[in-house]
Amino acid sequence: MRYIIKRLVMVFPMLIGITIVSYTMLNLAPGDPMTAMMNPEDMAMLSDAQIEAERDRLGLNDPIILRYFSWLREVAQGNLGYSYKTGRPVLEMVIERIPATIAIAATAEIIAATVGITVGIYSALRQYSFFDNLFTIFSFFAVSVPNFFFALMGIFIFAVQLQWLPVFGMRTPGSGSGLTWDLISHMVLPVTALALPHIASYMRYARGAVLDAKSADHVRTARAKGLAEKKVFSGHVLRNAMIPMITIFTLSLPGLIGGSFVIESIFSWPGIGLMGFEALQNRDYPLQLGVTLILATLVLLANLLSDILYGIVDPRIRYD
Amino acid sequence: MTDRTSSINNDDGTVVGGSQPIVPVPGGAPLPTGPTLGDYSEAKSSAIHSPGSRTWRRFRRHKLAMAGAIVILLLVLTAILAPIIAPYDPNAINLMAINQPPSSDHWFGTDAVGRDTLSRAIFGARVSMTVGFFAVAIYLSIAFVLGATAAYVGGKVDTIIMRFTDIIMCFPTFVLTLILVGFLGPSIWNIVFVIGIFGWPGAARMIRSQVLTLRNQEYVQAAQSIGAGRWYILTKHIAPNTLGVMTVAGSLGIAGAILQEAGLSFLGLGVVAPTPSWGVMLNDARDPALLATFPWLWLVPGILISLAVISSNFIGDGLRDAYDVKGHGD
Amino acid sequence: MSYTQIPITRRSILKGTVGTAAAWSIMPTLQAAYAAQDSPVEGGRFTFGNGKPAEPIINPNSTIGTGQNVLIEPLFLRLVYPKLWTEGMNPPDEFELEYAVAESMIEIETDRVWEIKLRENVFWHDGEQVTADDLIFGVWWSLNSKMGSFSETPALNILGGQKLIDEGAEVGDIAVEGLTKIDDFNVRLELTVPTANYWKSWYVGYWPMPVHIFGGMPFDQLYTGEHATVPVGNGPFKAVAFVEDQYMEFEAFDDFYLGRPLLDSMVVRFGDGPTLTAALEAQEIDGMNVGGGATFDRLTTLDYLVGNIVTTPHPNGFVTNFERLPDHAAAINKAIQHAIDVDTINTQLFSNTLTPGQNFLGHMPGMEENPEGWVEREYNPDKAREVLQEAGWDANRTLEWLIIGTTSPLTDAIMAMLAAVGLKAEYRVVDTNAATDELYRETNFDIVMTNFGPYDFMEPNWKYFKTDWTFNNGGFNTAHYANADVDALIQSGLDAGSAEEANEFYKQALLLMNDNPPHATLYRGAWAYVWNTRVQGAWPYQYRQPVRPPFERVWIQES
Repeated sequence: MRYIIKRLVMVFPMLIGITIVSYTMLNLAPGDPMTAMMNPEDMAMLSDAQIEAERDRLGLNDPIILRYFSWLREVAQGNLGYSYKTGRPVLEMVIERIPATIAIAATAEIIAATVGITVGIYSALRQYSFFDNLFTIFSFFAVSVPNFFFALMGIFIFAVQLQWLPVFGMRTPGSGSGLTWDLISHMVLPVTALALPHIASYMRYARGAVLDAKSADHVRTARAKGLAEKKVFSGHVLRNAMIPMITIFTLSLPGLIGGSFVIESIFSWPGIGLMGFEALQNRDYPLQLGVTLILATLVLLANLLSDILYGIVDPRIRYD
Repeated sequence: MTDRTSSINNDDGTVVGGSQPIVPVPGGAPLPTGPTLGDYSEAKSSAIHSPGSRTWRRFRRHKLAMAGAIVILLLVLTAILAPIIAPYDPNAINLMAINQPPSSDHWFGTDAVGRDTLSRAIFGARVSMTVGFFAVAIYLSIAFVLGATAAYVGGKVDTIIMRFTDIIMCFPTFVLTLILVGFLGPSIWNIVFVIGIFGWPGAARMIRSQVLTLRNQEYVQAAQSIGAGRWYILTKHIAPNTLGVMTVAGSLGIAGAILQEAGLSFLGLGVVAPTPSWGVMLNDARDPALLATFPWLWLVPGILISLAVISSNFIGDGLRDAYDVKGHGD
Repeated sequence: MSYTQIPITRRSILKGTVGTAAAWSIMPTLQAAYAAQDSPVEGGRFTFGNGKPAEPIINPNSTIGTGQNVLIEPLFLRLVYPKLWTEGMNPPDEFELEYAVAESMIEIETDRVWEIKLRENVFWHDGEQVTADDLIFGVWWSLNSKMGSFSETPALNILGGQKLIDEGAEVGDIAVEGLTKIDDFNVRLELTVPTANYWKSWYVGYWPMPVHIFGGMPFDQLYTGEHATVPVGNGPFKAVAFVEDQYMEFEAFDDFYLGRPLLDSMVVRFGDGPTLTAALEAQEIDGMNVGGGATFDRLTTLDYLVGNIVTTPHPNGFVTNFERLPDHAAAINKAIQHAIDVDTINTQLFSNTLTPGQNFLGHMPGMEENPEGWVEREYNPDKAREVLQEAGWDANRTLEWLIIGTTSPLTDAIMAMLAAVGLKAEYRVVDTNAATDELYRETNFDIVMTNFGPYDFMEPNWKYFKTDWTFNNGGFNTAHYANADVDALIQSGLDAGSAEEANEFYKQALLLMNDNPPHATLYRGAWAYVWNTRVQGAWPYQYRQPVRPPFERVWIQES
């Protein structure tokens, strides 16, 4: 319990750190921070003198440290500024897009973990076998080919040539809402393109972890005590090997999100990645920074979750 | 968040999660360490003391790593000698010979404005190699300074540096890179710079844990006991022994940097045309209507990117075994 | 000059820049080699692929010219449409108007005052009748700076218009000096000055807007509420849904004044260029703009796809910045015209879809023929070098070439051609969104490739070369071209009594500009559309086109 509380407390300085990094980025952006803070439609109504007064009120003429704190106050109240392009609150825009991104990112992560770990364990149990080598080579291949290349090939082969799957979009227009076959068929290609490098990643880690665990002292002891190999495997090897998988989950999240920028824009998938990419093209700095801040916060929370899970599955971690 | 690491394999300060080199793969996963192609029993014995000939011998035995090293060496040579090797000027157009299939005149065919694909691919090696090596040089320097300081000074400094590392690791590197390149404008040196300043956290963690291990080694403690100064120990004993971790992180980092450059070029934020780059070439050829018609246009850069990345990964893998950077298990 | 003419690329279509003018150019020519065999069938859905709109606002007062035309034209009708093109995409011999919301117009004073009678059978999609109040409100909105209008088709030269642009008017204070309501269906329109060819220009847009919906709406709700993306219009199709980054869905409007459309529904799906190409090949969409060249050639070899080329009226070419290069800009323009092999570019990269030509007023009625004494500069690198040498151009100097959006094989090819004659250039790439700042406000470039507007009468064309006519005072003279003699001739033309007389002045001005070119005009571009053969009716073979694509006549042939 103490461990979990300690972790929870740690989140706050981390969050502050994330805001500092984001704010520094925001200040590197060319452009007027005033525009980033105010509803552009309100601003259009103001005279120059009023704008100057508003600058003072918002503290934009203050030194950067003070400005950071006033910005932070706004962020704490949920004001991430307004998009240059749409004039809408950034927070609202990002929240709208989260479900679509989660739909493909989470699916990709689950598939990657399931397939990767299964294959990884299989490989480790048959070390140096034909399949082990095959999977290993596959894993190198999967992390060495740019994921947009997988996406293009997927479109070309499965959507254009074979016509098994739709090319783009999230749903066929007018096909209804909810979890439909139409939605699933639209998800297959983007999810696969996102998942492939991660399958490799899980696979290699799982294989390594099982090999490690197999030769760990307590496993040797168990074996020496005459425990059946099956029991050794399920009771000692697998359990110890699976714990580090939580770390892989955490570590793969930023990559998954980075990948969604490319994959969502290829497939016109209406998630955060597509919106973020368009924000980049539009030089919509408030939206860019809002997206970054929120994504980093999500990763941080996922880290927290995995730390807590760690604490639960691996009692050793609570030592301090 | 780093505490969990020292608590899993806490006896030697090795970190299970945190010590893994994080290769910033656009959209991809951090490249795991862990045993892979060569689990040479010899490599598993502790190898920290003598990085010289024994390491080289082990590395040499790692066939794929050797192959990777040869490929990268060839690519570097290609990049340096590009003007000599390339059969044509990479930017010379010939509108009367566009989209030509491979022939004896143009081994890899020509592109949409009749430029020689082979020559462009050769010059493209310059971009990939420059980005790969220079970006990694920048971030290894940052990583070394931060990682070594954290481990060697310890205490509050360690905590602050490692927390900062954790914070940076929360950000999707590729997204930060996209944004900053957007601010600075696309150019090869901006790309090098941006990948460099965001790439270091994984390597910093590796270096930190390596230095932590070294600090507790007998010979370091011995040196301390005979009154050797901190600076002396750091430069004489610690720094040389981090070379292994650095080269491992570096070669995996090169793979990541090449992929990032390709990703940036694909999104139109890469090097400015008409400078040939593999990513730009791939992007130019991405129209699905033309994939089957002019396959040489995407096959050549696609294969080269994958070859360069896979070779760097092999080298990293071989080096890890050779240096036994993370003695898994035993 | 609102967008650069570049072949479609992923980035540009994402931004919707190439799709600009999509709709008014959607009317295709007779490229299709097949004719309809069957009689039209009712029902079915037509799906078009397009870049997503730059902003999620579907409204002619803020979006014409931003790639959304294909979304707006099915929804909203103009007062009248000029018939810009006839067979072979040439201007008609006799000027013709297609009346839409207007039933007829009586000219009260030549080229200045008209009495307009509105149809009594045009309805808004919610059932309300379209009246004179809607017309006045629409014009008021399009001009009123306080309404945040970004219309590219304002009611030009209308009496009181400038005041609305300069000062704006408050919500509810709906009045335009030049539009007097006679009764619900009769309006008197008055311009500030007589304007020749006024109704002939695509540029002049009179869009009635539903005053009963937007009339009392506060400024901040105009572009954000439900009507921002699912507006109530009066066109053949009703907006059903707008799903951001995905698609917009329309359904047939039963009470359309020309009768119910043949289709049941229409969908415009948003995606990036290559992805849409794949979708077209996989028959997920029925049509899109692909740009000429290899993609067009390859797609049209498929038996279920057919291509059609629409020539744009925009002259395309380079602008050289006279402010930065006062001594050399004119020579550079001439050298560019000699250095670029337009014919080869046309055959090799654009499937012969370009219309080479250096006269940048040739798209104005009566100006199609080059004036006597006009010198067309042929492709000749030696000549280009000579011109540069005479002007004392330093071949080691590098020109900054502003690229808005993305480079392409075309720009790479041109760069190589320029380098070959001693004009070294380097790209500076900026996002499409930065175009206003970089190109218009700051004119931050040595050279830039762009187009010079499709306008049919002189005022909007003059924006490109009138002395001191910068963005801030309504002009687009990004070259900072200054030529008092040309200005005087154009002014004389504008003051002239008849179009013929005016054209004589313009031709003299053209000759002066031929010697001292403000731009290096190269060709008129084209949009290349590819359609699934199941799309019938207005597409793809109907050719006597008004500007408004006759969406109501499109039908789908089920196989």
